[in-house]
Amino acid sequence: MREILITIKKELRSIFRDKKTFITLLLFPILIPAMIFLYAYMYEEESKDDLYSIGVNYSLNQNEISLMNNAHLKGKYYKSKKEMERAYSKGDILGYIEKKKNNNYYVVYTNEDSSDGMKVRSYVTAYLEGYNTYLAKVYLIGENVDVKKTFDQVQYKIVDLDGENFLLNLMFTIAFTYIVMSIVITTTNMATNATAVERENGTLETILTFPISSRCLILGKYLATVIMGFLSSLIGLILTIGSLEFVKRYFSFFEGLSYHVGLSSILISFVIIIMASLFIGGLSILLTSFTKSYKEAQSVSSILNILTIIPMMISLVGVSIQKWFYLIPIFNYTQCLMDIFSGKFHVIEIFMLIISSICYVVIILFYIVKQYRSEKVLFGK
Amino acid sequence: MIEVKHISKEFEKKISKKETVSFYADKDLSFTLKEGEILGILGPNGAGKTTLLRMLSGLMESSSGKIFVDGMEYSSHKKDIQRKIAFLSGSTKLYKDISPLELLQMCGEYYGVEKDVLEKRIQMIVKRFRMEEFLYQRIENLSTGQYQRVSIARCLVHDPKYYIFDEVTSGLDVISSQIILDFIKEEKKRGKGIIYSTHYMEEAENICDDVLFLYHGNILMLDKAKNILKKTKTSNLREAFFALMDGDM
Repeated sequence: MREILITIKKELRSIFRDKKTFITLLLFPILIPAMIFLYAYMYEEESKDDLYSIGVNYSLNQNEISLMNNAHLKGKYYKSKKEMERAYSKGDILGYIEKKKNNNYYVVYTNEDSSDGMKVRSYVTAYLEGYNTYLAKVYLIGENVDVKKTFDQVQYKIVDLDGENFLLNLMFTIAFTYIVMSIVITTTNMATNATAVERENGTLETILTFPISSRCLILGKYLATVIMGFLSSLIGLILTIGSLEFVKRYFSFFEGLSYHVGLSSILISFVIIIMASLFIGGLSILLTSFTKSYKEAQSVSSILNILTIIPMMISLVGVSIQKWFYLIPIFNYTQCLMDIFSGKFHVIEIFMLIISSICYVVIILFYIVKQYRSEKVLFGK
Repeated sequence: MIEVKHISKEFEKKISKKETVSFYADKDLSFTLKEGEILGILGPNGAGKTTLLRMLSGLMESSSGKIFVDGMEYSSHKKDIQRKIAFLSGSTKLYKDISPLELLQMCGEYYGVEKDVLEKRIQMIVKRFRMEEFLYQRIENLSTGQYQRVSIARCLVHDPKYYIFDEVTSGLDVISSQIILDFIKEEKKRGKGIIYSTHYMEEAENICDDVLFLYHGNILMLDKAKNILKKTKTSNLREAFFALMDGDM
């Protein structure tokens, strides 16, 4: 135990002294709030009720202005069609409505080549439909007809079937993928230093002459890697929760979305990142212990980085999640974290994750210890 | 006393994708080293010196034969034996991101030296190797000579009974090599047993009590340097080695 602790201390000191690596380890978790704020801001900006300018060749009364604004439109008066054409070609307006003289006949000019043009066409249609309804209502009132009874023939409301919000789902997917990714980046860096770099620098041979068993040595290195992976993901988790809380408070689109933070969700997420650190830390040590140089170790580690993106891709593509998916390491960590914070987690899935992770870690440790007993691995060129 | 009894080390070598051949890096080697003696292991590159010393220091296991250190055998007392031995080779390097003081403390911790004993020992080592001026500097910033002093200093932290040096003077300048050779002589006077490998024959002639010529993993001759010269009727160890090699071939 003493030997393991000395090795952990040695490895951690080495990583804290290496400024470059240390900054890299912190960089990833810091990216999470930056990314959440960026998405929130972009969505907020996009969802703002911007009014699209269109030209009209007739004066608008207050009701018409109000109907236009409700349909995201802002009407600008021009004397003639020619003036409207000029304004359109200059880009002052996105389309225009020509009202024919002496009747209620309107011609709408829009361009569907752009997304704005398409929006304007549908908004103008909505506006004219609305105006038509308004005029009909005015007429019916004049004729003493019950307007409510005439127009509210059916009633309806819209219910979201899966209860998910695309943006929140996207934010969760990216944030929790980043948390798992931060474990991968941290542990692969640590593992590279602890195995390949140690071998490349010739310090492995030095340490092996000390009275320490290869098992204790590699366990010390493994645990130091796990500690750093956990610390990195813990920072990521705290920053994620903090930024989601901030976004929830200050961004209007977040109101009413399904997002759960409580003591139980925080505690369970702790367990998950511990499991993720144990597994990914072990895998990093296992992969890098085969390598003999920093360069070789980094290229092997990139496999792990690619694996972390897969859950994000699955989530974005919209594959339906089966129960057995929770046995797939790396995927299950991201998915469980997303489930917890969207209030959908099931105990059985968390249990599957924990048990499977323990099994994988035991297998990995067995191979790592075996690896570090092999003279071929330790001294082979 | 270190007793080496009929040790061999067999390796496998890949000659094609499917075929491997086995060969002996060391074959049936036997010798002893007493306290206060220096045993020089001499031989060209590929003679099996490094493999032999790695087995003696516990880095590698022998394929057959046994190594006893003060009556203890590696298979059952590896840690106890390693506490009695200090191993230094050209390929055992120091951690660059720590200071010499931190390195000495770390080595002491690994060897299980008591804290107060360790402190006193470090003070003594620092004084002996004049390390005061660079004790807190990072090892990566040290000069070659300072680095060499730290390398030797770390071997002393656990006050070993035996030293195993594998080509420690290879590639070093005259001053750096002399630091090591002086250290070896001093430790001999203090009653320590030293096994020292080199391919610099003149160097070995000056400091070794016994010389073991190793060639292709076999012992060509093991005797006092003077006796080897007598037996081979040569004037120095270099000539003696070639004479023995010719005889062997």
